[in-house]
Amino acid sequence: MTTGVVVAVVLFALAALALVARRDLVFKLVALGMINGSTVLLLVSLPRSVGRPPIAAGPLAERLADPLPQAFVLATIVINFAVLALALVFVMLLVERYHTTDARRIEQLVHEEEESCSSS
Amino acid sequence: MLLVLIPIVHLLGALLCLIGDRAARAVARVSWAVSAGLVVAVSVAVTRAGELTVRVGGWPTRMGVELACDQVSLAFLALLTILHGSVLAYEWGTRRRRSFYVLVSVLVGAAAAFTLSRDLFNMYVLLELLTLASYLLVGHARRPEQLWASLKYLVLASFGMGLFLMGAAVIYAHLGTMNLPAIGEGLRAAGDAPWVRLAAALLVTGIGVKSGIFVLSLWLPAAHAVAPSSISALLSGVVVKMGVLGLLRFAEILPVHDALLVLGVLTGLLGIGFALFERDLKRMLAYSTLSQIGYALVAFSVGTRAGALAGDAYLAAHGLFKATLFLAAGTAIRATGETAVDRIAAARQKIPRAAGVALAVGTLGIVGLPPLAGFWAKELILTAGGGALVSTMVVVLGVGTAAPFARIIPLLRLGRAGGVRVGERVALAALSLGVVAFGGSVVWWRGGYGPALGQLALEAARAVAVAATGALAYALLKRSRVRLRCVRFFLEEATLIVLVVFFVVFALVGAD
Repeated sequence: MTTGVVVAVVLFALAALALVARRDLVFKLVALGMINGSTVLLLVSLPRSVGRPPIAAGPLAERLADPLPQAFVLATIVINFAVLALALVFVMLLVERYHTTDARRIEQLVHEEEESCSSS
Repeated sequence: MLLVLIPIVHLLGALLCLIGDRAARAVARVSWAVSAGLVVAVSVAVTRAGELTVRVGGWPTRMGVELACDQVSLAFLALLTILHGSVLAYEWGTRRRRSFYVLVSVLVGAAAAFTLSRDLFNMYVLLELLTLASYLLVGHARRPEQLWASLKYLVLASFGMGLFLMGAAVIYAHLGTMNLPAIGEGLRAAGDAPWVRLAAALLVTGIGVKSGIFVLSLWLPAAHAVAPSSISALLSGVVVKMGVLGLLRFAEILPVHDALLVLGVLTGLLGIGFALFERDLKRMLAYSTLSQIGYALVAFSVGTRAGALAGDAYLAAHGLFKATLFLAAGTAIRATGETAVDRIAAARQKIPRAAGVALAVGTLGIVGLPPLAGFWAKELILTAGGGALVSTMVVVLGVGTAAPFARIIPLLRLGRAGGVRVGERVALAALSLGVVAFGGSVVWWRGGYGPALGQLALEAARAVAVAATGALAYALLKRSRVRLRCVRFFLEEATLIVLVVFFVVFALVGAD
C-alpha cells in the first residue's frame, strides 16, 4: 500500500459521506469532484506488482511507470469534466427556477408542482 | 472489421447530424440503414463462425481493446437496431431539432460499442458516454421535473461509476490487464482472495446503479416517466439493458451468483410493489421494467451458459414489449391529454386504434401469454437448469408482473381508426410484430423446441394460470382499498442505499 492508495481511499470515503450528509447540491457536486479525484489518484498510484511497462524494453524499462493507468486517467479526467460541467448547468437551471440549492427542498417543490402523484 | 464499423457509423452519423435540422433527420435514417445492414452481415458471420473477435489497433491482448460478438452480443445488437429504427419511425413527421438526433445517435453508437466491448475500462468510458447522452435526452425539454430527474440520475450514476472505477483499479493492480477474458483467467487462478471480493462488490454495485437494480436506481422511474415517450422506450429498452449486460459479463468471470440472485429477487419484488400502486401510466411501465430486470438477474444467477442466454433472451423480449408499451402509451397520452391510467381510461374512446392494439399486444406479451414473446422468454429461464428457487421465483415474478397490468385492462379497446402519423403506425406495428414473432426466432435459434407438444400445452396452461392469478390478485387488492402513500426518494437516502448495497454485495460475494 503506497501513500497514494491510502489517501485515495480516505478521500473517497469522505466524499461518499459528504454526498449522503450534505443537502446542498453544490456540496454534492464538490463531493463528486472529490470522488473523481480519488479514483484518478488511485489509478496513478497503483503499486506496480504485475507486468512491465509495455512500451520499452531493456534496462530503461525498470525505471518507467506503466503508461496504461496514465491513459486511463486521461480519459477519466475528460469524462468527469464533461459530467460535472453538465451537472453544474442542471443545478444552475434548477436554481433559476426554485431559488434554492437544497436537494430536499427542490424534491418537495417538484412534487408539489406535479401534485398528480398518486393523489387523484 | 465489421464490428468496428457499427459504432463508427453511428458516431459519424452523430457528427453529420450537426449540419442542420432537416439534414439531421435524413442522416439519422441513412446511418440507421447502414448500421442495420452491418448488423445483418455480422449476424451471418456469427452464425457461421460462432464468434467474431477484433483487437482494435492490433495491440497485444494485455493492452489493447478487444471487441467480440457472440450470440449474446448479437441479440443485443439486433434489439438495438430494431428499437432505434422504431424510434426513428415513431418520430417521423415530428419536428425534433438536430440535437435530438445527435444524442440518439451517440446513445445508440455507445450502446452498440458497449455490447461488443470486452475491456473493463472501455466499458467504463462507453457507459459514461451512454449516460451523458441520456441525461441530455431526459433533460431535453428543460422542464424543471425533467432537469431534477436528470440531475438525480447524474449524481447517483457518477457515484456508481466512481465505485466501478475503484473496482477496475483493484483488478488492474493485481492482474495488470483490463481485458475481460484475461481477467477471467487471472481470477480463476486467484481463487477467493479478499481483493477479488472487494473488486467484485465494487464493480457490481457500480454498474448496478446504471442497470435498474431496484434499490440502486431510484432515479429510473423518475427519469423514464418524464422523458419523451420515444426516449422512454430507448432508456427502458437500451440504457438499462447495457448495465445488465455488464452484470452478465461479470457473472461469467466473478463469483457473484448469490449476490445476483438476492439483488434479482429484491429488484423484482420491489419493482412489482411500486408498479402495483402507481397510477401514472408511464411511471407504472418504468417500475415494471425493474421487475423485468429481476427476471434477468435470477436467470444469470443460475451461472450456466444456458442461464446467461435465457436472461439475455428475456432482456431482448422485454426490450420489444416494453418499447411497444412506451410508444403506444405515448400515443395514447398525446391523444387523450392525460397521464394517469384511470383518466386515460375515462377518455379511452380518443385512443387511436394503432395504439390500442399495440398496448394490448405489449400487455399480453409482458404477462407471458403463450404465443407471445414473454412466454417464450420465461420458458427459456425455466429450462435453463436452475434450482427450485429459480423456478419458484419465475412463477412469483410472473404473477407479480401480471398484477399491475390488470390496471390497464380498461385501456385495451380497439378505439377509433386514424389519429396517428404514418411513422407512428409503422413503429407500433413493427414492434408488435416483433413481440409476436419472438417465439419463432427462439425456436429457430435453438434448432427446434425441445419438449413435446403435450408438455408445451401444459406450460401454456400454467402461463395462463399465472396471468389470471395476477389479475385476480389485483382485483382483490383493489377491493381491499389499500392506499399507499406516494413514495418519494430523497437523493441522500438513495446515496446511502447505494453504500448499503455495496456492503451487502460484499458480504454475499464468493459464497458459491
